[in-house]
Amino acid sequence: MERTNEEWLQALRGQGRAAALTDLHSLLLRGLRVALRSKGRITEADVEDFVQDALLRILPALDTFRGEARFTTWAYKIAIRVALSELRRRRWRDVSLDQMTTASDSDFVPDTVADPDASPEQQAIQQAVLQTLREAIASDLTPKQRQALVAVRVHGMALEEVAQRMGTNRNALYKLLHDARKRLQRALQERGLPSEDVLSAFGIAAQVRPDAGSASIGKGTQT
Amino acid sequence: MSNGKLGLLEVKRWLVDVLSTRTHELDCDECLDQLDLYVEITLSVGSAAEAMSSVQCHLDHCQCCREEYEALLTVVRVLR
Repeated sequence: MERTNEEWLQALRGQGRAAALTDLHSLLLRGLRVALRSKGRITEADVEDFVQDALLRILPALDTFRGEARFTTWAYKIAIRVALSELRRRRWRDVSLDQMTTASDSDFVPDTVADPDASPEQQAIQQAVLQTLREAIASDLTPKQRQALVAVRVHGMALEEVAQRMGTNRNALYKLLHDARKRLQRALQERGLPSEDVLSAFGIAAQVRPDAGSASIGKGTQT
Repeated sequence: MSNGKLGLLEVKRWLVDVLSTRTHELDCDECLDQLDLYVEITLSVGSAAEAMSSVQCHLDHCQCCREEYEALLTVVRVLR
């Protein structure tokens, strides 16, 4: 079953198509079984459905494969996008965005944080940062940005599920939240709270370089 | 989170998220477009964060894409 990228493309486009399709189907089945084994109750029928949906996306897209990575890695990524999107849809299908993001929810930034390691000077900066963010959320963000921010940041809702409920798509919602982050970043700068002072006040050791790479605290940072 | 307010760790994560914002960032499809190469570089040299910093930046900010990246990394590592 080992093929080079060129052999995969030739086979899927030519006379060996049936055999190549069978091989690709088997490969995606194995791949998704590995990818989804930590995702709870997934049946073999689910995996088979995901593979079929993935093939429907992969085959018309062969011309877009640039050959920078292995063909199989490229095919896996498409299958994983298909499967995880469907699992997110199932997980959030009974959740209403309006119920989740009530008006009081946008008031999710505390006045102070209990930080036993912070000095009095650091605590003063922390309070200024939190106050600036609260004000900027209220005055600088649009209602849509606030709603999306609460759903994603406070409730951990999947981006594409928030997007679907807001009548948009995942790319557009990412851009909406990216713009929201830029506005909050700007608000801190305009208040005289440069990044290094903010990070220092909160005891964040990570180097944050907005336009030359970024850092995170452990795992789980999200828009 | 308690009483509907972010706790200290959540505030810290959010601050990193805000402060690491770049002027221009990839969207989810642009990230997916490069994700296969990103994973192969990661498995080959240990990290692709420097070579493909724009993808790394998007993954830092997008939980969905990060979940897909981690799944792809696992699959390629196990089945290669």
